[in-house]
Amino acid sequence: MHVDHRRGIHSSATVRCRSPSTLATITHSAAVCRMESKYQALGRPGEGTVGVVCVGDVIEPQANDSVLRGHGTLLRSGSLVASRCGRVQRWNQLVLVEPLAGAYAAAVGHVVVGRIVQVEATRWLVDIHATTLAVLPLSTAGGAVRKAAEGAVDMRSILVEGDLIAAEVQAVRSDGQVQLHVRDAVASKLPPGTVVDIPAALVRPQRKHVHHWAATGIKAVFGCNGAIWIGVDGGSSAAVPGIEQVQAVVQAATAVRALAGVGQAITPAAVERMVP
Amino acid sequence: MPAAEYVSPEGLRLDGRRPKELRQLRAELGVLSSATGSALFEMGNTKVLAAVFGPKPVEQRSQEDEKRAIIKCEYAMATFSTGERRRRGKADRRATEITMAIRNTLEQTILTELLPRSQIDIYVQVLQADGGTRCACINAACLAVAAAAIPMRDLVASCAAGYLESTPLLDLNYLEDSGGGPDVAVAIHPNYDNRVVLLQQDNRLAIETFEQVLELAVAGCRAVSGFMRERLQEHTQALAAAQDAGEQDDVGGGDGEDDDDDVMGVDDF
Amino acid sequence: MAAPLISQGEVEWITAGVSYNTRNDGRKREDFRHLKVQLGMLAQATGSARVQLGETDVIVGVKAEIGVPDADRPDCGRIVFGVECSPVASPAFRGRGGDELSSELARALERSMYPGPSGRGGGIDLSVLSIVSGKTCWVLHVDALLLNIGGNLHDAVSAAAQAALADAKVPKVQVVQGEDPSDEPDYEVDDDPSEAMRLDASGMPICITVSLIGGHCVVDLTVQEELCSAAAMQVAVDASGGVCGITKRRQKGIEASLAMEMIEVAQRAAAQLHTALSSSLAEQQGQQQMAVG
Repeated sequence: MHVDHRRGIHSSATVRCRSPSTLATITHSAAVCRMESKYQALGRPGEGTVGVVCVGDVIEPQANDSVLRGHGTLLRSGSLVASRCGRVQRWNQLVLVEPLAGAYAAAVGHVVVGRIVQVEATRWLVDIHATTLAVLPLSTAGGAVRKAAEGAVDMRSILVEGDLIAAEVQAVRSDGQVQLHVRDAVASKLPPGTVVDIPAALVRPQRKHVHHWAATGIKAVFGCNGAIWIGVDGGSSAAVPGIEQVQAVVQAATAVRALAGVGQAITPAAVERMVP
Repeated sequence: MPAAEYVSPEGLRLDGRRPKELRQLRAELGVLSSATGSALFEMGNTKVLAAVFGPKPVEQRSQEDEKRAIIKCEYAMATFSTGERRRRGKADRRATEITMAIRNTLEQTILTELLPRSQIDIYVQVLQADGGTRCACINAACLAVAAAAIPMRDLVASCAAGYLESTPLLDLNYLEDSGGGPDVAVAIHPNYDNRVVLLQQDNRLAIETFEQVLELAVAGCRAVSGFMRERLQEHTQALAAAQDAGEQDDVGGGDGEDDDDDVMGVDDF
Repeated sequence: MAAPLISQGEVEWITAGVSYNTRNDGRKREDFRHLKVQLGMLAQATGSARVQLGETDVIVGVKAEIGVPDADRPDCGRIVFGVECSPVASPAFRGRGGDELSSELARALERSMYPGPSGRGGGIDLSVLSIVSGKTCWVLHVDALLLNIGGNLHDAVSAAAQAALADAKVPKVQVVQGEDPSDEPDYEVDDDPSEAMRLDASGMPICITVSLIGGHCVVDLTVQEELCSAAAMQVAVDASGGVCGITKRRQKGIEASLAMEMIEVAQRAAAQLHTALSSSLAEQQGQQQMAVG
């Protein structure tokens, strides 16, 4: 579905329809209306969005600012200056500039959806749309460790190139390398489904990363790296997906694309509102 | 005495501009969906597209640098971009020179030490060339890098100036460029006292005139940097407003429901 | 660069969706994505068009040059097609990376526009481009530039080429014969845009790629869907449903009966795309008129 958030779209009532594409159009219109009314509430651009800076801008110091500077800032002749475009955030006394776009920056505890790109002797290399490839060592991969202790493990029998997995970021080294962790390597492989790739900045770390739709038997995993996987709920060896599941996933995927198309932050709650 | 060709007695140039007047600037961000950051930049009729991919894993492991990001750059001109249709082929000397100029300028600007073991690809495609192409390319590349939220020392802004019929002229178009006079292309970091990060001059130029022309080019760069900052500010504000719209919705509901399992979610897989 | 990767789970998913006539973005098997056309954005070109079909983005520039006609078609002009893959579309197109793809696309365009021995049998009547029979003619260089890869490149490029040719304003040429009949004549090119000749591009065929996924015929595939298809047919169809060219693509064989079905699907799909394209063109050209007048 093509979305152009710069065009005005007329508001419409929330009518539920059977066909996925119509539902998506309607719920998309509703999302844009809410956004446009907020634009008006915020006043002209620039009023409500305080703290937005551009590369090279000086960040006005506040009383409690510490001597340490956070990401996205640098020192220039004694003043703190933004090195990225984004929003100024203050956490305790640390000043940083949070980017609103760009590549994914991994942090410990994030849940990510990644793709295996290389199989090595004791680990897999995973593409998580970050600045470097992530590493999934066999040793952290749960159930497989026992098999490894009994003898040589065929890494390819567990995960091969192209496979999608859901994992948690266990560690981030100082040189940027990311180490992942899963409870069970075999179970981490995602069942039949589809991935929607959106800007990582739109997916904030949440308490809940997974949403189930019990009625249709599908679920979605919201990867902090901007990869949202939506598909069949159940084991990897699920039977051929049924038509209701396919339609439900298409509705959810369209909802995610519609939200991303207008630049709204994606959360399980936001998607649930559009696709109950 | 021959009639003035490039500057009329009233002080107007071929396209009606004054000697120190820049052409109309236009910029649009986020025009290509596959790139991490992208920008379309126009200076008069010169139209240039820039795309940035990354920072991302290095394609060839042998090139990986454990201390900083490596930058790959390429410049291409469309066959329909010039008045006379160009021959096909990317590898001509001028293209190589301009690619190096773009890469060199961005390497001085991007904080590569903050992104070790990664690769940043910067590609520039000229759609229409009407003088000042290398400057437009640097400006487009800077906007695309900023749109990709890659950390930079400062913005980098570029502009060229020349000297024809005893008059310093800012931002030459193709006709003026072919006039046989000197052409000085400059790029600066506007917030570091306009320090020069690129300087290229073609054709003979007396040293006294050089100072005038350089000063004019730097002034042009400052004007360009002001325009670029405005565009980036607008773009970032729009992103912030759009993201905020979604989050304000969530404050109402969502928290506290389905509190039972998956604090971190990994157990669920 | 390595080909894009896809998992078994995603392939199964896409195949299932196609079998239920509900693709990942909600489209049916024979639906096209949104088509957006912009004309005339390259002021220095004879004609230009930018076509976006879903995520796929192509810009085409037409440049007219005075040249020499083909020996076997002395009273016709020439149209030469070229395609380039811009590095801004993908890191894979750095250096010579896009050469193979661009030759394939250019060749496909050329073949669908084959003008026949008379020069009048193709999408555009080449005789309108003649200036002095046997001596001089217009040569139109149609150059496509890929700006973003979103799947279904062939169809997008052929639609963009048609749009650009429809936009082209070929300058009027006055042939001024010298006093001596054996002298070479002089050519005066009239810059006035209102005197320029517009081309009738309505007879041009559009290429439709019909792919097989799980035994079903699907059109306008995304990049992911293309990774799930092992066989495809490219059929060039004109606005009246006439088939102008067929090419089989990808590695798997196709049964004859299935091939016929694919051609019929292409004809239906072409009708859809021709309508979308001509209404976009009419709208754009209407806007251009309003801007001028």
